[in-house]
Amino acid sequence: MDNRDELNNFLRKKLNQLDTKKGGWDKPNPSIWSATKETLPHKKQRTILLPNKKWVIAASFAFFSLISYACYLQIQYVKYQKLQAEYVQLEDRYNDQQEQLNKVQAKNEASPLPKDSIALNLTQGIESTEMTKPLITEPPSIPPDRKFVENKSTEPIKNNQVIINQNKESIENTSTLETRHSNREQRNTEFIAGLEINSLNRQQENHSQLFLPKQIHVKRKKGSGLPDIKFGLNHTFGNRTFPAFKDYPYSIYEEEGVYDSTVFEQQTYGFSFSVALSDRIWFNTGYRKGTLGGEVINDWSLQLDEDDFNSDPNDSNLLEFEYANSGQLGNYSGIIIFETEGMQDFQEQQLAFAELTEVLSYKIIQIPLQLEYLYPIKDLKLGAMIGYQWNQVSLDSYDVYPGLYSLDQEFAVKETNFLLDSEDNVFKSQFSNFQLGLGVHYDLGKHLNLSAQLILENSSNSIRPLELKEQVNRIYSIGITYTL
Amino acid sequence: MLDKDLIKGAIKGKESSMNALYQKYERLWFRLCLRYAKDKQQAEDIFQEGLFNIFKDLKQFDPDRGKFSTWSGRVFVNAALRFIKKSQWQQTFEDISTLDYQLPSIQHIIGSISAKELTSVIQQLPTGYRIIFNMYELEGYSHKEIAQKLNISIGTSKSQLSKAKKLLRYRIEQLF
Repeated sequence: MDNRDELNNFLRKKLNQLDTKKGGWDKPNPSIWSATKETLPHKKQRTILLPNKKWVIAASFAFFSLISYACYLQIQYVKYQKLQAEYVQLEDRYNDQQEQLNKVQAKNEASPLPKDSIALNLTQGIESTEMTKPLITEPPSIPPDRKFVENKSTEPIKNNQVIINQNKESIENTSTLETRHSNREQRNTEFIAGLEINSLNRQQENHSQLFLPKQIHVKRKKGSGLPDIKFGLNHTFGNRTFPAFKDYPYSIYEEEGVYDSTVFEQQTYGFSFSVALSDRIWFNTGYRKGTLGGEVINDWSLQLDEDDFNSDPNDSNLLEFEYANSGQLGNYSGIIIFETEGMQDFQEQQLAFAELTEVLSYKIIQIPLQLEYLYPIKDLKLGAMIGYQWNQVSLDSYDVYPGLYSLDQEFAVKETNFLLDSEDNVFKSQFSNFQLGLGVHYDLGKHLNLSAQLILENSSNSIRPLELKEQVNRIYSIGITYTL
Repeated sequence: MLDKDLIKGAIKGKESSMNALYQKYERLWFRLCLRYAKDKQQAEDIFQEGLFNIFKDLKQFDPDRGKFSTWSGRVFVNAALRFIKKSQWQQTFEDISTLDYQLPSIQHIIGSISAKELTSVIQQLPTGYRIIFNMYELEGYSHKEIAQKLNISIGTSKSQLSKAKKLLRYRIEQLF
């Protein structure tokens, strides 16, 4: 066992010998525990934040359920519309054909075409055939000296021959007439068919003009059966508010810290992707990346005592205190060190003002999920949007500029430093917010479209009971899209 | 009740669990604070900050990575260091050259003193010695860790520890 182990064991054993006396030297003041319990931040957050988180989860779930249900209804509606359109087309086609047939029949009835005479002849022929039928089926008793000849010549035909031939001819004539009638009917049908096709085409056009615009139908890419898709580039800018709890546990005057909110400028660039759920409703998403940042000026008053300054070997006076910030953009803490001079006659408490200017720059990533309704007016479309956006921020650069000023006591700050406490610092966070937007879209051509949008976003506030300076952030978005 | 259950209850904000956890470790934590502080008042300030941090960051405790007593001890050490940095940092690393003589063995010296008396002697050490002595001998930090924590060199940590031990023996010998 080396010296360290030997000493360790001995000391630990000795120091951990618990005294059995009540209220012993190793018992802290009981008020510390009760005071600590009251100030524990997670206790406050538990009662206020948890319902808030639950609410956000419930709202997100409801939102996505609503979107899913809306998509399902939309798909069903599209299917129904398609079937209805097919049914109407078939019905129209049937009606047109029926109408054309009626017209043709009416035309045939009134027509000078010899169909009637054909029919008359045919009828006569049939009647004649009927009359002569017994003669054919029951051949007359012809004297043996008579020949049964066909009437191919122009010779006068005698008695029965004539009758027979006449009947035969009349049958032949009837047959020829029927054929002619049939051919004529076929020509008529062909003629009607031609008329019908033209008429159908015209009627279909008329029909689509008269009927289809009255329907809400899905605008589909011709031939593909897929909904319309848009790709775009966009840029957003605006201000965004963040909450923070700033703690100054080692300053003399401020002990508990303060709730504060910070307004940062945001600029993002990215691409968007949109799918038409119907002629007027679009689902938009995308990916945007950018910067978020600005200056945060913290200032507070201090009542300084001589004891608050530590002498250093160079006869300067050092004033140190800790600064901590916990909020939406991360948690970080550091020690501010002011090296001062001119503290010789520092007899009583002096009023001073300390200032810490933080210059923060974050990288931000955003993924929006939006539903947008577009109302067309000529080349313009007015849009109303509801959405949800996921955001991630991570620190890009952090600079601090501390300052210390006194009104009562003349002392000068020689040097200031801010040392970040590297252990606990977290400069990365994720949050989400809901969006409402109003926009204008202008068609530059068949495919290109310019858009401008005002987006209102709720400020995500995980710090209670802080009332944010701006409950609603106004973000402006401009973009250009290409419709496939 | 096991630490695990108490911690789980405390994270959920159950006051009974928080109280039980506090009562179990109160004296252990406060003794640690006493060793780092120069007096009871200062120890209570450190204790309050450490206590706040313990319960604030309780969900960060991972039972798979070590005992709760070790983790919480480190939180109190950090609280003590932050506190001491604020007020006494410039007086921290003094060189007490008068102690450069051979001292009797530590067991022989402190064998008969109580924990309270020993703590009191440790409290009287200059801040830098006290910190390094506590961190190295009692909390088990290595010189490398101490150097990183205090932003000093490993050599300084070693020499300050050596001087702290000599001074501690000297002070105890003076008492008895």
